[in-house]
Amino acid sequence: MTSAVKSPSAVSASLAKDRLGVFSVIMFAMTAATPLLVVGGLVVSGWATFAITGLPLAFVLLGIVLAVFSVGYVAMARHVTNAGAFYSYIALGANKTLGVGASFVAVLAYNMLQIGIYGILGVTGSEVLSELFGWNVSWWICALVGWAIVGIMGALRVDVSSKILGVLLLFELLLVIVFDVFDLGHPAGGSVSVAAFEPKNLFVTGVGAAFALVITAFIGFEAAPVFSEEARHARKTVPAATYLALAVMGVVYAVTTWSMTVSVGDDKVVDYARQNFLDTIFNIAHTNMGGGNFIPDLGHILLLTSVFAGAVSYHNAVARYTFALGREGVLPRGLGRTQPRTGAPIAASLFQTGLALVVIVVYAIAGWDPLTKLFFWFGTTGGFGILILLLGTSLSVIKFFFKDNMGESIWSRMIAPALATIALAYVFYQTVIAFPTLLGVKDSAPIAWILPSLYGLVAVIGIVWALTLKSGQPEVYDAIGLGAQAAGTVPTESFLPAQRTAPEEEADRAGTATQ
Amino acid sequence: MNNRSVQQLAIADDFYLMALDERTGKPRLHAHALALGLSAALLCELVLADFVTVRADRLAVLAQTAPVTDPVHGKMIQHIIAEPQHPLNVWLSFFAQTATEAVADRLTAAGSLAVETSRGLLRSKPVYVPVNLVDVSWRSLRIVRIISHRDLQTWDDLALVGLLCATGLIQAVVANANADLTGDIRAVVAGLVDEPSLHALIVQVEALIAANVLGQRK
Repeated sequence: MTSAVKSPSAVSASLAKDRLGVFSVIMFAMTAATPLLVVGGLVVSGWATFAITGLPLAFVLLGIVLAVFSVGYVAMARHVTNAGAFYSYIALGANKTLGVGASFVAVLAYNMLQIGIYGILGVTGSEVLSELFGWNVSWWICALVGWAIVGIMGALRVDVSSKILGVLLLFELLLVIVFDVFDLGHPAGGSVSVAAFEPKNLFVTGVGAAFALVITAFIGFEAAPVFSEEARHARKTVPAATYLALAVMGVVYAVTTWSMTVSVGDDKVVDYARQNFLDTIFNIAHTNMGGGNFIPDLGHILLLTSVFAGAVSYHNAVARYTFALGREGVLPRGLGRTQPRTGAPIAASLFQTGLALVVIVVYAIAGWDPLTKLFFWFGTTGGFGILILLLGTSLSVIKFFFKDNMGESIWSRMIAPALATIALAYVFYQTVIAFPTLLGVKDSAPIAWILPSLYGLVAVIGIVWALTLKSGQPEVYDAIGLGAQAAGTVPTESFLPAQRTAPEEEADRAGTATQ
Repeated sequence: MNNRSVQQLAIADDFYLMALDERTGKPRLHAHALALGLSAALLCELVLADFVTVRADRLAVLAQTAPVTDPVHGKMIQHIIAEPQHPLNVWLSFFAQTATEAVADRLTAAGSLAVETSRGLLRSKPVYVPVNLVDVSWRSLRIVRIISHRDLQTWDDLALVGLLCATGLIQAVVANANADLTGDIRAVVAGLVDEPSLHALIVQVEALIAANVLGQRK
């Protein structure tokens, strides 16, 4: 059968010019990587809290699990309108009621991640000020200054330019690679030990704590499908960017963590972390590199910028999430408003800024430690929430492709997601039973079951709310998961009346690929 | 009161002027939303001139009884005739690439805007400034009067109010009104359901503007 020669579409070509090329999408996806924040902050806090030295192996293993997860994830992303949000997949693949439950879990998880960063932001800022100027500034003052800047940027829709983020990431990577080389070059005991990669150093009681930390480190890898509509060759670019981000993160985090244990000795690294905290990575490198304070000072500054960039980026993610839910009517519609002059999702942004303020103030007044009890607890609990979403999404992918394979291979739609589901379920189980270890508290401490149960609570609230919508406002229920496209079938907050779409048009909008 | 202030302008021209700040003459709507709003406005002009209609999320060119006098319209119709397969959101995005400049040129030719070249660091960019700020503020006052009296006379004005709502510009336009016009606005735009082509365009452009918020770029 011959195909007629089609003249190229001038319209498509013109729109393609504005779209993101491969390099841009990969750059955006890579900004999920924050080597200094993860290895200098998260890993060190983890060592200090629960003393598991097999973290490098955990990075490798979970990197592989997430890559297998991504196979089904990017395959389904081609058929989802609001591809950047896990709850859309659950709404589409499972059902909309569970989707709303998932969306509430997501809002809680991403909020915890963002607010937790203020803990390390405050401490790092305080240290940098002390190093550079000799000032003695409390963590919460630095945290509030950072909070204010993030809040203003969010309200005015000022994003950190992706070029700046790219340059910062490059510096971080270079610095970390230099550290790795020197650390591996000065192994404790004279020879390079691979003990940190041995399973017996990871699969101890409480291994779930290590898993939770590592999942938290990888968060951000899921961002590439946000660009499905804006990328020129989304079909290839989005998966490539996702796998590349996972690979780079996995390798950098694993090797850097490992080289620190090699240099200090895996029997001593936990004590070292407990004594040196955020200075751990820099002190180890400094010991091996010699020289003056230049490298550690530079490292502290890069850590501060890395942390700040993370705070901005998570704030924007939460604001966009809340905005989408406001547009759909799942959350109050006022949250779906934008500021005309800037296009900022202003209500959602201010709401998140307000939440963060409350938490920072509570911690400042109560005098709780910002590094362990704000940054580490909130961060890893947030990661646990994302783990729940990953598990739910993996199952939803299988169910979505069950009736109609939509041209995807059996590996993408069934085998890979099934393998990922099993692995993620195992990780989830281990994490739940190891929560006391993760938080560094006694098994009987209430906080160890309160924090994870928060997710159960918000999920139930979400499900109940969804059922209320289903009977009371069915047109809102129908729009769940559509995000921006929700305007097509639902009266919007800004007054436009509902349109009666023909049933086949509605199915079209909800299910078809947008390429 | 100048005759020109209260006359009926083309939808896109009116929208552009209302998107300007009444005190500074600079846009009070971010560039992407302005471009999309103007793109939708131009398409609304085509619909109301009976040149095109919206059918099942596509644009269909109608047999023309009247000649196409506006060159902007002419170019748009040629594109639509050449590639009828695209859905609405593609057309809206495509015309948005050129809409702002096209409408600004139209207003310049009509004498409402003037071109100034601003000297940037490396190159100079043409900047369109309103000739008379009073005329600009009268456009908003006209619409506020229509809404508060629920005195909608033309399909053009209905499309205009719909676009103001879709782009969020309505809040700035009614900001100086004496009363809360929320109910009146709702009542006025309710009429859009009677004109499915207009409604489809306006609802779709709102979705595109929201999608831009969800994407990571400005």
